Amino acid sequence: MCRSRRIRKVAYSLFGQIRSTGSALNSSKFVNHKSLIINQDPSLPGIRPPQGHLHPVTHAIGEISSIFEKIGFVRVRYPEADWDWYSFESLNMSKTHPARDDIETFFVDTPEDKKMGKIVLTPHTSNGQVREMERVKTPPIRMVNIGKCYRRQSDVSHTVMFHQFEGLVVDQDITITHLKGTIDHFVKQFFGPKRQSRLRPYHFQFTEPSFEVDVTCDICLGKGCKLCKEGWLELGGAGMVHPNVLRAGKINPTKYTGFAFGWGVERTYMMKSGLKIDDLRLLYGNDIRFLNQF
Amino acid sequence: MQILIPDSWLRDYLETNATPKQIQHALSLCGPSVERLHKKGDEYIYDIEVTTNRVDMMSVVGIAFECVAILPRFGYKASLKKDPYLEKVNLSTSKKVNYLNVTLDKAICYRFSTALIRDVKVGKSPDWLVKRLELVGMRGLNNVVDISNYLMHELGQPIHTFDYDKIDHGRVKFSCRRSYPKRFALRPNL
Repeated sequence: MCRSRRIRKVAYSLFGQIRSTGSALNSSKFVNHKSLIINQDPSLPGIRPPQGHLHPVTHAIGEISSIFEKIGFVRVRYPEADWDWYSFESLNMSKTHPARDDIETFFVDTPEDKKMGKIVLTPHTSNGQVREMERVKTPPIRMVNIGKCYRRQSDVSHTVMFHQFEGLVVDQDITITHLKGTIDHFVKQFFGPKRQSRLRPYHFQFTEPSFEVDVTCDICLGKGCKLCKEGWLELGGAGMVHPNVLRAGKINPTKYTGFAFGWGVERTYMMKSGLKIDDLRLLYGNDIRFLNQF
Repeated sequence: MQILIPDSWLRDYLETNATPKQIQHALSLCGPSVERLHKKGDEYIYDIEVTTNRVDMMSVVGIAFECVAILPRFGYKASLKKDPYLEKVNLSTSKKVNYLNVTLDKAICYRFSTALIRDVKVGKSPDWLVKRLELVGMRGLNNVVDISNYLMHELGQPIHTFDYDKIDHGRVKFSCRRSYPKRFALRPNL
């Protein structure tokens, strides 16, 4: 049977159904003629206008912030576009350090300052360290700085812009045990009481000694599995503040010591839910269907 | 910085009862991160990330020293078969040589040492040498170039090889090129 004949056949049968339903309803004793708008319950809630959704990174920042707040940290905000001096030189990174290449870091096209250097889009939230030392002047310092960072790298596991949270504690007699304790506390609060953390040797110019921090895999809890291989997942970097950094912040390194850590917000949050995103750039694609899943 | 260290080459310097997997585990926890353990036939190759503050580990000998320090902490036996810094060499040395006149800019180079090797025939390197270079991602070119690459990888000592006949009147000068403002290039003027 050709298409138009089929359509007509279906249409006629539908009309027939509508007419018979209508007449059946009309004849029924229970029909209120005034409200013949069929199947309308006026007590039903109205149609909701489309609503936005909090970004997973916003969730993450809130959670991270509240964990540190409870142990006496102060959350501060420092500029994303900052002087070269705060981002590099004050952090014991010399002018010839590769991080200052334009291959790695974004430089802003503004006049250079004699002391401060050029303005850069900071590649790490560590620019907040010396700024906080200047703000507080005399320790104790317990800072958490959460902000945007920019690095010239864009692929499935890197976005050009991402968030980091930076912790800094400066006081008398601060040791590695304080660093380990604070990290362990965060890991247990954020990931769960069964999770463990460990430190491995690494190198940063602004910490001495420097560490990389791992956390046990949420699936195998450290035994090793398909996901994590060895049982441990990389979290980020940490270390004891380098005396040169304390000096740049006009704090006496013979009297005070400190520790610092800096981790990616997105990465840390992804690890919590055991979430594997094919392409990290989806996170900033502004697709509400994606964001609604969080 | 990444470096590839074949297990058999490492064991030229390191005496240990630890297996490659155990070495990978111990080193990664206390020293340089062994990111991967490759296997080529019978050979295990450590793929190591060396941080910029420990360039002393960018060689077979450097990793061997680390192993000697770290492995015993995990209960393995580890000792050096030979220490290149303590090996005595039967060569006489002097502060001046009659075959070469050297001028140094002490700001950029404070020590220069040289050895003259006569009657060199440039040709192909022996198979064992080429094989080792290939295991660490290098190509065998000729004996003269291969030796400098091999020694760099084994001992961490960079070497430059020059054709003595091509050096102008036996004079070498080290100076700093002012034309590169961001980083300076070190080039001997021959």
